Amino acid sequence: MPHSILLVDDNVELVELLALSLKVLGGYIATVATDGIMGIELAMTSRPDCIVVDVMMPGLDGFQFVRALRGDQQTEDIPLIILTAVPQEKGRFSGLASGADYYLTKPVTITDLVDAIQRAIATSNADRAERLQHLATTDEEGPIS
Amino acid sequence: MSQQPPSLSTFARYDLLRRKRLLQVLLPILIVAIILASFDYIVRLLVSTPDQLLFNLLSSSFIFIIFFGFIWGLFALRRESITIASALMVTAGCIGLLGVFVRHILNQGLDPTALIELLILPSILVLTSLFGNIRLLVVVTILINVITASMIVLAGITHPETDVFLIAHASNVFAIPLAILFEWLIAIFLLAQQSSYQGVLRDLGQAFERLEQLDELKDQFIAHVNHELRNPVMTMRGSVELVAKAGERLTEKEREEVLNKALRVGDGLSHLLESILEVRAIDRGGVSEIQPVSVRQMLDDALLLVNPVGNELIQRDLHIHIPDDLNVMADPIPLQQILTNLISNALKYTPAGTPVDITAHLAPPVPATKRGGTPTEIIEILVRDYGPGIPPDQIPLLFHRFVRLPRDMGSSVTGTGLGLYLCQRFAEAMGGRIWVESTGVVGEGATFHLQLTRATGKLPATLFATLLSQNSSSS
Repeated sequence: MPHSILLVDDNVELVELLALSLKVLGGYIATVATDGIMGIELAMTSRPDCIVVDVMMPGLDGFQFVRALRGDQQTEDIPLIILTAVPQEKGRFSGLASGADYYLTKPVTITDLVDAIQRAIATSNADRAERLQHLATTDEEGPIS
Repeated sequence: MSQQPPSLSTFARYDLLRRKRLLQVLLPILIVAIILASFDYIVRLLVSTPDQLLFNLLSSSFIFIIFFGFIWGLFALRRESITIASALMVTAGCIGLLGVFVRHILNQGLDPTALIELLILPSILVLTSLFGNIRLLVVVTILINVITASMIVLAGITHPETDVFLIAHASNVFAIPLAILFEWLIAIFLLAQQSSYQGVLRDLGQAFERLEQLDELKDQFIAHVNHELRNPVMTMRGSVELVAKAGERLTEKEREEVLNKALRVGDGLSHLLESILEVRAIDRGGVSEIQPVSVRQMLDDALLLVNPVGNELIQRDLHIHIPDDLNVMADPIPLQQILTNLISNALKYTPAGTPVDITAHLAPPVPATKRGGTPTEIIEILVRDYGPGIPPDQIPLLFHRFVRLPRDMGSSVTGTGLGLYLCQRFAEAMGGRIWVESTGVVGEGATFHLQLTRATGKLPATLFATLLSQNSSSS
């Protein structure tokens, strides 16, 4: 059965393209949310296999979205990828520390995004806990690109 | 800039350090001189006869005033109280040296030695200007004037036979004003020099503060453009990648949608680049040709650019009340750009379903600047929306370049922070002005006002042809 991906981004043009691209190139079933609140509702009702979320959104931003999902038992183990225009040097540590599995900076190719989704889905809860522990105890950024 | 530029306070600290260094260099020399003079007077005190004792004690006390004044000044200097240190040292120096001068006049009259001591007084003024502040300089100058006048009068009284080049008993009335004038000339020169120096420091500080602001604006602009570019670039690249790698798996409709998406995004990128280049152009030369133009025609052209025929994306209730015969003096292209910007902003930043009002009318005329001249008739164009409005405290930020309101930074509405800046520059270049009114209350929206000089008479035939050709090329 194909994996389901939830895309959360307020840029309608981009998110529609990503939905189509993930379907055609990755064989995924993609659902779209254009703000954080809608994204949380869809995450809780549909329990996707992976969520790709933007950071700069009106209302709930991407970091808050990730922390909200990680703080809920129903959604805490859903793989999360941050896909954002905020450069790595400014937001990567915050993104990973909030609980995301990957931090990608736009523009990325569809191929790289599909690759990151596959790796995120393969990440176990133990791996995730170990990485967060490492982030909490050191000043270094997480090992994942 | 890799380092933080210095601010005005940095230059004030530099001035304090400069004076502190001067004091530190000269103090050892002054202290040695005072010690030697003190030794000299102590010896005199010891060898003086009883009738000379009181007089010599009085003379020596002046030396010790100087000595202790400098000691207290040293303490103040160590505690970074430059003003107190210099005030103590200079005042002590004044009193001490004037005391010596008193002693000399009383003892030997106004002879060349006394005149030399009198000339030391201007030296005190120079020292004061170097170490102290302007107020201290004025106080010391007045003090020296009083003492100088008193000493010359005293010399005339006690030694009426004294007659040394300009100074004679009969001419004391000239000596006093001359001496005071001499001291004030020096004081005024020093004051002017100090003011000039402080003025240079202030200008440099302001220049560096401006540089700091520009650097911050540059960083803001780079951050905005960086953010605004990433989404469209990814959309365009993703579209091409999808068609290239899996074009055959897309339906005809899907392929068309993807390619149209890439085209739209590309148009947006072009617009961004044009805005950036326009900022550069307007900084160099402003508008090119002011001529009578029809407000209604300009508005229609702007609406075609904002909402092309057949574009279903923008559906909004536009209320337009602009008489056909209202003409203004303007450059058509920048005016069209202003209107396009204002209408586009009204549509972008307000919720779907809310109306936008566009009106134009004759505004109160501007009085003539010259006597007998005619008032200037003004046309005012208003673009009003009913959206969230603009917080009043943020209105001053709106027309700055590369600045976007905090609430828009995280929104889905794209922008470079250049549109309203360009509107203002264009309006001013055409002799008009633009401003906004808003309560910041959601639902009351904002009203943008654009005022331009009214054009009297009919539009030239050639202008109609120009406008028609612009209309046909934009549709």
